[in-house]
Parts: sequence; C-alpha cells; structure tokens
Amino acid sequence: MASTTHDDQEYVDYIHESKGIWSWMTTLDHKRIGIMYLVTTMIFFTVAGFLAVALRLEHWTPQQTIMGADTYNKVFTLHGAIMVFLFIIPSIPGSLANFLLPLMIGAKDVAFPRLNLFSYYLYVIGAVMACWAILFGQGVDTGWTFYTPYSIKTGSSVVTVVFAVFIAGFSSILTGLNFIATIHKLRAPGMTFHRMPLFVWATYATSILQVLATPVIGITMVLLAMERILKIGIFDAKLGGDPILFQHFFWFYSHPAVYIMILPGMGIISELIPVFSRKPIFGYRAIAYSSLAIAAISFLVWGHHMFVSGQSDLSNFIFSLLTVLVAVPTAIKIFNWTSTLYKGSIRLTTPMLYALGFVFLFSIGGLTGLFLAALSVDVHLTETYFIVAHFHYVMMGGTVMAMLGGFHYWWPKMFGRMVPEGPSRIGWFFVFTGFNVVFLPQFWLGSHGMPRRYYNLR
Amino acid sequence: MEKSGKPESHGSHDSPHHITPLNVYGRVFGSLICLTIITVATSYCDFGSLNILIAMAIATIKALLVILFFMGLKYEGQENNVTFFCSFVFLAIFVGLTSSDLLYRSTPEPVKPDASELTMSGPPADVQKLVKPTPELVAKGKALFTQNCVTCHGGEGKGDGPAAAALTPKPRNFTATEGWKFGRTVSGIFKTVTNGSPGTPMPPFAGLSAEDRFAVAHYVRTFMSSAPEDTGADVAALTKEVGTPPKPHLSVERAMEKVAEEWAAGHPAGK
Amino acid sequence: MWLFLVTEVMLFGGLFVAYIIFRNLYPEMYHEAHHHLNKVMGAINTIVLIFSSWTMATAVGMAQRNEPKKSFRYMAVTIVCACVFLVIKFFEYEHKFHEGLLPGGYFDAAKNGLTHPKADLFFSLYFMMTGLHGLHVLVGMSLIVWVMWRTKRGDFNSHYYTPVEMSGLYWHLVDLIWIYLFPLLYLIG
Repeated sequence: MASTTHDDQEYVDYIHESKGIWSWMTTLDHKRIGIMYLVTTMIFFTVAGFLAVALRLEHWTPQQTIMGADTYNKVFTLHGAIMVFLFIIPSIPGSLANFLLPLMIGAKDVAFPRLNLFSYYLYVIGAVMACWAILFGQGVDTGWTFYTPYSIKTGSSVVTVVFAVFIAGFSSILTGLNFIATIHKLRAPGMTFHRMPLFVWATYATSILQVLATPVIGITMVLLAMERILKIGIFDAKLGGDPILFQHFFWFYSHPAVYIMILPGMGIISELIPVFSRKPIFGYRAIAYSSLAIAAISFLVWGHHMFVSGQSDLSNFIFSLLTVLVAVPTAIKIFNWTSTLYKGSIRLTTPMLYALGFVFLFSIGGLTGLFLAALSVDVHLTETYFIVAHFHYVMMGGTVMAMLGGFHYWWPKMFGRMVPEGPSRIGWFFVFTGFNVVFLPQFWLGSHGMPRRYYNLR
Repeated sequence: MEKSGKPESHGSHDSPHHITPLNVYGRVFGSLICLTIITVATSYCDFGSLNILIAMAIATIKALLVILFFMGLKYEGQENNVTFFCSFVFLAIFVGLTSSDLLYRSTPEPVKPDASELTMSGPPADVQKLVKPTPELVAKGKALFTQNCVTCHGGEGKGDGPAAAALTPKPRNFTATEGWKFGRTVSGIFKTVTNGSPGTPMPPFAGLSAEDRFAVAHYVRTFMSSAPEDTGADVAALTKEVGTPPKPHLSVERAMEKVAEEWAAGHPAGK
Repeated sequence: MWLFLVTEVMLFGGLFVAYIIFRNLYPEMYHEAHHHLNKVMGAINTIVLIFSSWTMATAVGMAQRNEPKKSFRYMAVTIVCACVFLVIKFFEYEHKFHEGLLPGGYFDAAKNGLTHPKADLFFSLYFMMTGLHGLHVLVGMSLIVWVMWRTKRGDFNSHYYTPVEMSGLYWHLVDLIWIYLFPLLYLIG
C-alpha cells in the first residue's frame, strides 16, 4: 500500500515478498507459518474426514459392508486420533491465532519466531510419524483414547503413534508458550489487557491450557510406551498397577484439551457477532473472564469421562458436581452473544451464518453435555451414540463452524481477495444441513442404546 | 530446542536485572547442605508417620531456597512468580482428585466361606424312582424343555431351533437314531444334560436339580420312536453317581463374592 | 523460560502423582523396597547437585558482572559435577541390575528377596523418575556446554547474558526435582 518514506520501494505483501519453497520452509514470519498450519491441518481434516465416510459406509448394512472388524477398529481410532491431535488442536491456534494475534495486539511478530517455526516442524514430524504407523506399521486399534489394558496388549503400532502424539504435543506446548509470552510482553503501548480483542483473550486462555495440560499427556504417552516396552507395570493389574490410573492421566490432559479445541472458536465468534450486528459486544469483561474461568474449571472435571470405569463412588460424585460448574461460564458467553444480537443491525453474510450456526449447534452440544454431566444419566448414555453426537456437535458444530466462519471473514486479510458470497453461502448451507443430518439422529440412536465403536450390530 | 532470546524478566529493553551478591549464593549453598544433612539424619530415626512430613517440609524449604535465590524468583516480577507457583496448584489438583478415586475405592465386606455353600441345592435324588417316567415328570420336563432347550433343539426336538443356525455342530435331533454321544437311554440323556457335551455348544445344566434333569430326559425321550432302556447296571451306576454329592459348584453370586474377597485380601489399604 | 519450567513441573508432576497414589496404596511395600536403595550414594549425589547449582548460579553472576572467563570456569565445574552425578547414578543402576531390582516385568524377586507382590512397582517408578531426571541432566549439560562455547566466543556481557541465565534456570529446575526425588525415593519408607 504505502511506500516507505525514504525510497521508492513498492510495498510487497508477505506472500510475494520472497519466492520459492525454501523461503517458506525457513520463514520466521508468523503469517506464513499460519498459512502453512492452515494448509496442513486442512489436509488432515480431509484425511480423517474420508476415514469417517468409510465408517459410515460400513454401517450401511448390519453385516460387513466394506471392512472387517479389525480394520473398523483401526479406522475409527485413526479418525479420532487424526482429528483430535492433527487437526482440531493445532487448527485455530496454529493458523488463525498465529496469523492474527500479533496483528491484533500491535506486535511485529510473536515473541519467539524461531520457536514458532520449530513448533510447526514438530507438528509435521508428529504427523509424519503417525502416517508412518498407519501406512507401514499396523495402525492402531485401541480407540483414540488408548485405554489400558488393551493398549498394552495389542499388536498394533501403539508405540509409534504415542510417540507421534508426544512430539505433536510439544508443538502445542511451545505454541502456547509463545503466545503467552507474546501477549504479556509485546502488546503495543496503550494496548492494555482490557482493550485486547476477545479473540486474543480466548487465545490467551487456550495457551494457558496448552502449557499446563499438554505435558501430562506427554508423560502419559511415555509411560504407556514404557509399559509396552519395559513392562514397568504401572497400568498393568498383573504387575501391581492400575489400568484406571491410565485413564486419570489421559483425561487430565484430554479434558482441558477439548477446551483447547473450543475456546479459540468461541474467540472467533466473539469477533464475528459484533461486526455483523453492527454493535459492540455485550459484556466484554464477562466474556474475557469467562474464557479464563473455563480454562481453570476445565482442570477439575476430567473424571466425567470415567463414570463407568470403576473409579470410586466418591470420585464419581465429585466430578459430576464439578462438571456442571463448567456450564456456567459457557452459558455466560452464549447469553452475551445473544444479547449482542439484540437490537443489532444484522447482516447475514457467510461468516455471520457460520457464527449463528455455531451458537445454535454449540448450544445443543453444550446442553447435551450437561445431561451427560449428571452421573445417573451418563451411566446409561455412556459409550452410546449419544456421546458421539454430543462431541461432534461441540467439536464440529462448534469449532469447525467457527473456524470456517473465521476463514471466510479473514480471508481477504490473509489473501487479499474477497470471498465470493453466493457460492460460500451455498457452502454454508451444505455444511450446516449435512452436519445436522448426520449427527442429529445419533442422539436418538444413542439414547435408544446403539453402542459406539461397534463394528456391526446384528 | 530454542532457548536463547527469552526476554522473560526484562521486556524489550535492557533494564538492569537485579544482581544477587555472591555471598548470598554462598549462604544459600551452606543452608542447603545443612538441610540435606538434617534430612538424611532424621531418616535414620523413626518418628513414624512424621518422617514423611519432616522430609517433605525440609525438601520444600530447600526447594524454596533454590527457587527464590538461585533462580532469582524473589527479585522477579509478579508474572513469573504467579506463573511458576500456578503449576504447583494444578499439580495439587491432579494429585487430589486422582487420589479421591484410587484411595477411596470401596472394598466389600470379606465373607467367610461356608462348606455347605459349596454343594448343590437339594438332597441326593432317589434314582430308582426317577428313572421311571411318570406323567408328572414328563409334564415338568416339557415345561423345563420349553424354557431351556427349545431355542436350540426346536419345539419338536428336531435340532432346528432359532439359534441352531449359528451353532456348530448342530443341536441334536431327538428324532434321529444315530449320532448320540452318550446314548438315548435315560441315564445317557441325564448325563448329557448334567455335564453338557464338551466340544459342542451344549452347556451343562447342573444348576437344575437332579429331579428336574430326569424330568427333561423323560420328555426328550417322548420325541423318540423306539427309545432304548437302561440296563440294571446302568441304573446302579447312575445311582452311585447321583447319590453322591456332585463336585463343588458355586452360584454366580457366591463366585462374585469370592472374587471381591480375594481382591480385598490383596489390597489391604484399599480403604 | 519460566513458562517452559511450568511444563517441566507438570511433566514430572505426573510421575509424582503416580508415586503418591501407589505409596498410599502400598506403604509397607515402599518401606521395604526403599531399603534397597543406597542412601549414601543418594546423599552424595544430592550434595553434588546442590554444589553444581551453586556454581551455576555463580557463573550467571559472573556473566552479570562482565567476567566471562570466570563465568566459563564456574560452568566447567558445573559440568564436572554433573558428570560425577551421572557416574554415581551409573553405579547405582548397575547394582540394581545385579540384584534384579528392575521395573515391572523384569523384576527378579529370586535375586533380591523382596517378597511383596507389588515390589516391582517401586522400582518401575524409581527407574522412570530417576531416568527421566537423568535425561534432563544430559539436556541441561548440553545447554551449559553450548553457553560455555558462546561465552568463549565473547557473546555475553553485563548487558546481555540471557542464555546464561536461562540455562541456569533450567539447571536449577533439574536440581529442584532431585531435591524432591531424593527424600521420596531414598529416605522415607
């Protein structure tokens, strides 16, 4: 745009300022790194998406349709593991937050640009290792949750995949670390904490989760690998250990992880709704603090994944009670977004359609989560398709909708081109409708008893 | 791993960072050594459960000395202080809530086994009487057959029940004359019903009383056109067998109790 | 770096959680098993590591005071201490191998006479915790060697010595973890 003052150099944008793949692979520019994350995460989204299609096809008939039982186990495991570790967790932090965070606080780049690039490569290495295990190893058939004792005994390539998760986990940790340092140290003069855009607050809360929780999945993966290789016995009942301890370790990370997945999405919605209602956000501080509150409470509730695992009654009671608390800050956000819409001048552009879709679908997903928080209800619904529907509503109806809304909204900023409104609205329609057609019936299926992870039902 | 260029304590400008006097380091070192000696010494004394508290208290004092002075957290801003100590808070949550499960699993009351629990229900049967069919026995047998056997053997005993399609080998066709493993006599069928047929899907029905099993046998024989009879020797052998108490057999409830009891024995501190 | 140390606390924290849980479940087993650890070697290692923390702190102090040569020497002493620590650890591990005091499936009760059925757990935790700690000692040593090389090159002065300080922080964390490992594994039963 503007040329520099002391010579006639024309402004060149970040995409064209240097050419060649090497310049991209060695870039320290947060915007380029963001684009690289975007491309890579979308590739894995597609891969895991195809795996999902395969799973659905298998369920076309009650008998074997296209794959045997063993393959089915591997396919749903990989669908889950790829979606969680290689798509959703890195997607918004890696792509949109990387791109936008420094811009939103007036910084030149993130605090540690080389670390940023290193994070990206760690993610790629983890992804390659996982692909290696799938293509040249035995794949994994334990479910993405790697529950012991089966994950100790199974002959599939568990060790390779857990190391892949370990490495990708470090990518997440270092990204979070980078963002916290950036937000604390590199805000432009006058950019106080309470003037930061809400997407930045959301990223801040997410980064705290990444830094505190991810090391625990790191040690869990190491312990699982050691259990398989050295038989240390910590999760193996025959050797004196406790398989449920694995579940505690696993979910201590994986529950905060689901908030790592949703908080950035909520941050995007907090940006989109005010813009397309032509109104300032209602309750800025409430939304900002509720992001932090969600992050804090998320560490207290992991046991709700384990209500039927055999943990003590005391634990069950405590976790059920704590879990309902997390609904409070979440509900605050929903109310505030809705209040922002009130008396606003609403334009139903594509990003707004995604944002409104988010509010609707995430509300369904979140409310069903509240049903599941109640111990007595969860005991019946656990391991059924109700759970599958619940988490797809929050993860896909939530995060993916928000992500797509964000991509459409910030696309002109990222690539210098406007997104054609017509086709993208049609795209929204298909995404929204298709999503609901697939997942809404699963609530009924689950509550009527259809179990999950079953190869077929005769 | 990138470690350089982490401007944690002094933003983007070089503000003078607090320089700790070297004698402070020396004194901290001295204290740490003293504390180490103390903690090793106390480990040789037995203060019971206090030992662990003393050791942890000393370790925490040493840790604080290292954190505050060697690592300089005393002179750092609030940010770094909060950050670092926050991690211990979350660790405490992890420990606390996991313990609420692992340490509070309930152990059922240990149950003393009773010799009489280990035998079958009912007194030894009167074989001489039961080996002869009576209308009451056959009717009882029919009722039991409908309840337990029809699924596989079919309503007409032809081995064509609904579940038969999935079984290998196929259930016995009672109208057939060939292929019976234990014979078509009352004693033969009684034995099959009692013990099952190993290597086939036919399970043992030892849970039924002897009288019930005789009843079933008599009913099964109604499907046969010319059923063979037991010899005197067969009946004598059967009397001997059925007259004595069968091998010990546990009910499912009792088996579950025993498993729980054995688990409790191996986990004394489970409360 | 403080943020990174938070992640290290959480990483090791997981192992401490496992330790605490199993300790509460099997206290007598811990008591019996810990006697098989050599307190004297553990204590010497503790003193060596504390001393190395002191020399590292001083090395940072020297860098702050614009004394690169002294800084270099103190760091060298730190490395020597770290080597001593690892050597002693090596001897301890060797002794464990002879006694069959190995993790989980490799535990050989015949060789060491520990009768508690869950004794192998203690040694699984022992090896995991000291092993992970040893790995971090190695990482810390590499960092310090790198910083020593940069010191020799003249990269640092009283206005810029951040890498020295950061490596120091990492090294102190390694010491900190050992300060807790030592009593928990060696001293209390």
